[in-house]
Amino acid sequence: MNAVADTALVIVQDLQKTFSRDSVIDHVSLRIGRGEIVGLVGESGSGKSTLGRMILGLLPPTGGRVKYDGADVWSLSEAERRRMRARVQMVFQDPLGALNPRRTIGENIELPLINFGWPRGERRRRIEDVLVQVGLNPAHAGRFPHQFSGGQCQRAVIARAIALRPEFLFLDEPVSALDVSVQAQILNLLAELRRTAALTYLFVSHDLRVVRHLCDRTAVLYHGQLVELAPSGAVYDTPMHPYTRALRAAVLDGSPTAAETPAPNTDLNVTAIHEGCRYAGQCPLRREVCARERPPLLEWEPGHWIACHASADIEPWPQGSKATMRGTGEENHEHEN
Amino acid sequence: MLDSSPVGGEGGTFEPQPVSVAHEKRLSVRNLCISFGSIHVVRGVSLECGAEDILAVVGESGSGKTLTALAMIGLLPRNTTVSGSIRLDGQELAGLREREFSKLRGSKISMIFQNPRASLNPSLKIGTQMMEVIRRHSPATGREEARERCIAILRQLSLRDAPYQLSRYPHELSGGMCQRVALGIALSGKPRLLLADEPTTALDAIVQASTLGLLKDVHSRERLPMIVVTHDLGVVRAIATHVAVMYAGQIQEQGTVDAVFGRPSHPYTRALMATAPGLGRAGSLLAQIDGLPPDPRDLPAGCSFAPRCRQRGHRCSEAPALTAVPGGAMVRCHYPGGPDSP
Repeated sequence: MNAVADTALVIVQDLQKTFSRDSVIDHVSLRIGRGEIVGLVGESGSGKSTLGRMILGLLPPTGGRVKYDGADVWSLSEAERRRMRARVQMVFQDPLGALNPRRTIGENIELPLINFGWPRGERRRRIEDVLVQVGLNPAHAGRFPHQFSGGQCQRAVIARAIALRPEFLFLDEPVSALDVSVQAQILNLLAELRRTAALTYLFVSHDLRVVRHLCDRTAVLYHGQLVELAPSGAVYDTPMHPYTRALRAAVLDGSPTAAETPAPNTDLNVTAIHEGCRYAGQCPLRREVCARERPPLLEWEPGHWIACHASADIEPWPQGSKATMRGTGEENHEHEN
Repeated sequence: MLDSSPVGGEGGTFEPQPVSVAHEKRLSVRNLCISFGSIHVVRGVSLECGAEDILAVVGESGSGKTLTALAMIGLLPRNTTVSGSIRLDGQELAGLREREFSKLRGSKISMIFQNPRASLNPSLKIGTQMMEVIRRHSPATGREEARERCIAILRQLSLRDAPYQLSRYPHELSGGMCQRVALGIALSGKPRLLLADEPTTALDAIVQASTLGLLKDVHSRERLPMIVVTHDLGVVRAIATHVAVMYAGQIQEQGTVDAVFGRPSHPYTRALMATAPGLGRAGSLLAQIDGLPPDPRDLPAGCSFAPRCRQRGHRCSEAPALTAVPGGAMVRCHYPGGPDSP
């Protein structure tokens, strides 16, 4: 699917997941290259977390394959999958909920190290190292989560996630619960860790602005279907798929169009629809074929993939109307940092 | 509770606010102070909101923005002490007893919250919940008439199949639909002021945008002033006419959205604007505000933002007053034009 195919760390092939009769991941294919940050956007219920959990080996798929570093995750033995989990880690949205409130920050970070048999002396050193790496004071390892702010707790969760020196992090809305000033601190930390600790991320967010900032490529999920996959700049500046365009138009970037977005029909039980394009019910470009056949993900421009039967009808995205953002403070003011 | 003695944040009274004597706006808050015992969490907030205004109160968690809104509708925790004045249509709300306040809630002032599902009763049908409010505020209304009113309100909020929605339970509705129902309930008593605390934070992006559009419609159709509490500057730009930026319990900058965002004068406002991701320069580091907001139990002497401020000067050890700057905004900073300004 892309140039890094041969060295891809994660290969998702035609992955499916059905809960009772609802199809929540519908034939998704995706490659994540080593050192790459892929953003995953979509509304709640679109299957973002489900996809990540299947990649991590936490949730068995109904169909399709996940390959991690060449090995098929779901044909590994349970013991092998457990060893793989030392190499893949997860960061959650609510940092306070992800830490054991009755254990100190140091003990929270220590647990995966104990789990994978690190000797005591090395554990101590590693805890100090990762605390420094995430910008926390190692002297505070004895404090409890409630003594830390939300941003500091998220740093601790990230410290725990990198303690085992993993290669791959699944970041599930890691900054959504944080204040804006702290959100910037954590995003900067993640960008820096990717460089210094040679990490690969799958970064879930509902915020297109955050994804555009941090991620190399962006995958857009709509009710379990991958509708667009492209470099993040292209998804943000020249979105193609009608759903991505609706999402982009809803970004509150100071342009007047955002508040004029018509109400989406959120009352559709689209996951129960097994055939066709899930967006067909709301799509302005709908054709007769859309409700019948699932559109294949095709390369529209080099590196820019979309799944849309009506791709020939897609008008060019109006440049300039959304592309220039005024009054953001960025043009007139130096970075505070 | 109204405490007549002024609550001094740093051991003194708060500076008087400029008052437009000629014409009081529909809502006028003067020198509002809220404290938990000796901890002062809102320190001398003054706001106005006229019929044509949507005022956004922006700040991070702990800045006092939500408490300010809760004070206006009498929903503060019992262990708070309030001083100052909150006048709606000339009526003083600060110090009202709970029984008096409960008559005003829903009929004079309404509020919608961040999590719409949690503000609805999960065990009652939508129609039952809406009709309860209508019949409480006008007991003479018959069941059929109340039902018709509910349907009319939901239609105005562009909810599909309004009669059918009345027979459903909250869990059968999406988050955006629940927020519309909550808004419908809030509007059913024809309030004079609507408070909205993070009304779209829990919603998906597209639903958020359409809900904001709906609030704007309601505002202009009903001439209903709104106070929107949010941390998202994008929300402010999308709907507000005026903005007040709060930090450490004080307003740091306030004015029209054009004045404040077009020419932000407070270093905190500027830093907040610069931390927003996704605007230009992808891949580079974001501007970040180092450090943490101050603990209200241990506020810094002088300017509350000074410890994190990149342009602090020698005068910042004294608390700055809210003063007018060119462009029409009010700013609480000794150096609103930058570090070298007089």
